[in-house]
Amino acid sequence: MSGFFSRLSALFGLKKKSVKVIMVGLNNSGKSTIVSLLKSDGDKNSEIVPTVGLNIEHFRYQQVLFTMFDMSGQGKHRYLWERYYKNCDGIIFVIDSSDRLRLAVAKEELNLLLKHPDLSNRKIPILFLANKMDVREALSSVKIANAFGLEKIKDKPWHIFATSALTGEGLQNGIEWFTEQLSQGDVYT
Amino acid sequence: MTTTWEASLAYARPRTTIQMSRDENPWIDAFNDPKADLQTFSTCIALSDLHADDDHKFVLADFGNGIQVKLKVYKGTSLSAELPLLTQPCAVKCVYTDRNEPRVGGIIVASGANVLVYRNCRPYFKFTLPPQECSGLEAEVWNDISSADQLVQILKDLSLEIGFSNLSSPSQNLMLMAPSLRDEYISSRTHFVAKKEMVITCMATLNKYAGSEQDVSVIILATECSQLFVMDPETFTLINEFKLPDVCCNLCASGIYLVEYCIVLAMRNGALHSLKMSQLRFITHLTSHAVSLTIIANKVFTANMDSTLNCFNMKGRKYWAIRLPDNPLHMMATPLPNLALTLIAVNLARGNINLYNDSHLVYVITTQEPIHSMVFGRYGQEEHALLSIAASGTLDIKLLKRTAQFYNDYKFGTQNYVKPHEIKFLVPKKSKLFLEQSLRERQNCKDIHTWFNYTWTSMKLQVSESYIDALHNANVTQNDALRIIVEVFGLGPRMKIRTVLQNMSQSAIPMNYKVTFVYDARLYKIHQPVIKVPLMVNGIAYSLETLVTCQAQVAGVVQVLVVSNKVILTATVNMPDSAGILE
Repeated sequence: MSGFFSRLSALFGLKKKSVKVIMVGLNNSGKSTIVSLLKSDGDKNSEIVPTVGLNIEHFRYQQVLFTMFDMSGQGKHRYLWERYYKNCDGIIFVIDSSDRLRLAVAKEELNLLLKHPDLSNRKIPILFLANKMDVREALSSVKIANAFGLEKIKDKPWHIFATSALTGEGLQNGIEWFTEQLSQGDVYT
Repeated sequence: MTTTWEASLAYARPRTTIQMSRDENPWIDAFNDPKADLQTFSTCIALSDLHADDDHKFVLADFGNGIQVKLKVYKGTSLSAELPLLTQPCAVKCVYTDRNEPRVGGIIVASGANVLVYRNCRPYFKFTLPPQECSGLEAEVWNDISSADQLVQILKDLSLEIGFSNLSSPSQNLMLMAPSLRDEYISSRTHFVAKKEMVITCMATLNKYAGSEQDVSVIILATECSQLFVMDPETFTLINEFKLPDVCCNLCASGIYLVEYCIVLAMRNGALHSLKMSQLRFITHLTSHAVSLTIIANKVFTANMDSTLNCFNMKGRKYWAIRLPDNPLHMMATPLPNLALTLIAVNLARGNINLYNDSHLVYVITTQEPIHSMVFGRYGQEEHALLSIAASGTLDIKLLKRTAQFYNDYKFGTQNYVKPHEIKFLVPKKSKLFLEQSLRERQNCKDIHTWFNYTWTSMKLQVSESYIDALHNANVTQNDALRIIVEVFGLGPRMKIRTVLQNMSQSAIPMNYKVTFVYDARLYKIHQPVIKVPLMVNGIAYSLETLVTCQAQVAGVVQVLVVSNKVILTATVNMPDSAGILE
């Protein structure tokens, strides 16, 4: 009964939805910068340092309360990602579109993520952010989608957006789509 | 609200659920550029953070087909800087030359007697090793004698006495010069300097103050004059000097210069020495020359020219030696701290890079062509990158997977090789006929076997009979039955070729034969290129003639062919020289 009411209230936007989202991607791809932009509060960190382990951030976007697990992308900390797969409602995968060398590494990490037993059978949205689009040698989002073989992901809703975490360009569209996907799913409590 | 969970890092590492399967390739092929066209040696490549931006660059001295030597710097997948070099370098290393922040690395290029230092991809400092003083006797000889022949004669005697390599550079130049140039050379040298220029043979770097990656490194230089110098890049001065028993041609250093260090030197005579805290010790004498050597955890590893990989301790005791599948071109240590391993990578003369964990082969990177040079380390943002340059100049970058595992019981070729007993055949289902047949075979096995033996023996008998028959009634083959004699008449330019054919066979009567010629149309003109052969009766010689006109005054070759529907006989005629050409 209570479940029915909570759904009803959610439908009318009375109750806040709360989602857990993990943010992954290789080091130096701009995850923490994106999070600090999304928080969009006054105390923006001017200097973003490489994350150690992970940071947890809370912010609200369109009546949805996000709990963001900003994971460290360093090789030695990437093994932590999978511990948060089980309880997450959505994944944001950040790609440095100017780092052509490590595109293959990012693809490898994505494959590991998709194959992980905690995620392989769940229909959770994945938002790909092709970051650093402002850099001159950056690849377009279409090229990255092709290189990653994203069209092969059939069981999960996904979308790729070219973004620039420095200016905030493209981020709004991305997070809007993501919030929509999260609201559609039966994920609120 | 920000919470940093450093404590979560304390989780035991092995609890990863993702594990790489054994057959999987632990390397990611990140980049391959077949058009890079790079030519270099493993001593002339290095990886370093040159601009203090935490993005490690790839530095190499490209020999550029021997036309223009260039120092090239790669960033990511593209070339970011190119600097011309005047001479061919013998080694390139990247070190930190000072303790200033930000930590900008320098490129050290050793070439001839010079050590060139580049910072921010610009020339920064040039250091020249002081020339070596030579014997006073040489100076006297130069000052006293002005005639070239006499001088060369006396210098020759001197070189026999003290060795050619101990002579000064001008003397060496003079002796190697063409005799006609010597006088001019002597007259241009009014003031003789009895000094010999140093030539650096190899270079190594050694941390100076601490074991950290970003520490200032001292530069160790070995020269052709059997000396070892230690240069401090902070002041660009030589801070130590050692006399070696022989010329060092390969060296490897480990430790911290001001604390404790160890340098292993491979001499040109095959001896292996160690230098520990200014004390030179003999380790061992190698049976064959070392291609490269490295120190891992106080053990000396050498890859030798006799295709072996050896491991010694510092006192010269051999732990093990394994046979390499091919001649090694280079060997290097690939430290993998996250796996607590230090592998040894050996690139082989016929391709492939073999990775060894101690004496165990743990992985083979198959390559299409031999790898000429390679380097392992931090590249770009990636911790474990293997950069290799193949024989054709292809640049290949491989990155180690995060989940990579290496196993000591690796078997090369197991992935693509299927054991014979595991090959599955497409066997059709057993038919009714097959079942009946097999049943019958089982029931009447004795009869079937007897019958089989009987027919087998009778077949062998039949074969033997026909063989004997064939021996008795053997007919000469057609080719042997036909005899050909070719004669050339005349002095030229017009000559006659007579072909005499004779049928030796009694049974065969050849029909429809023709005689034709294979010749160079620029040399000869044959008036009747095809001659029909009449029906040839046994024993009678048939003579067929044609005229030949020489077109050029060159002796050539004409082939005479007897053909029916195939070539039956050929004869080659060496034509005589033609006496003249008719216009």
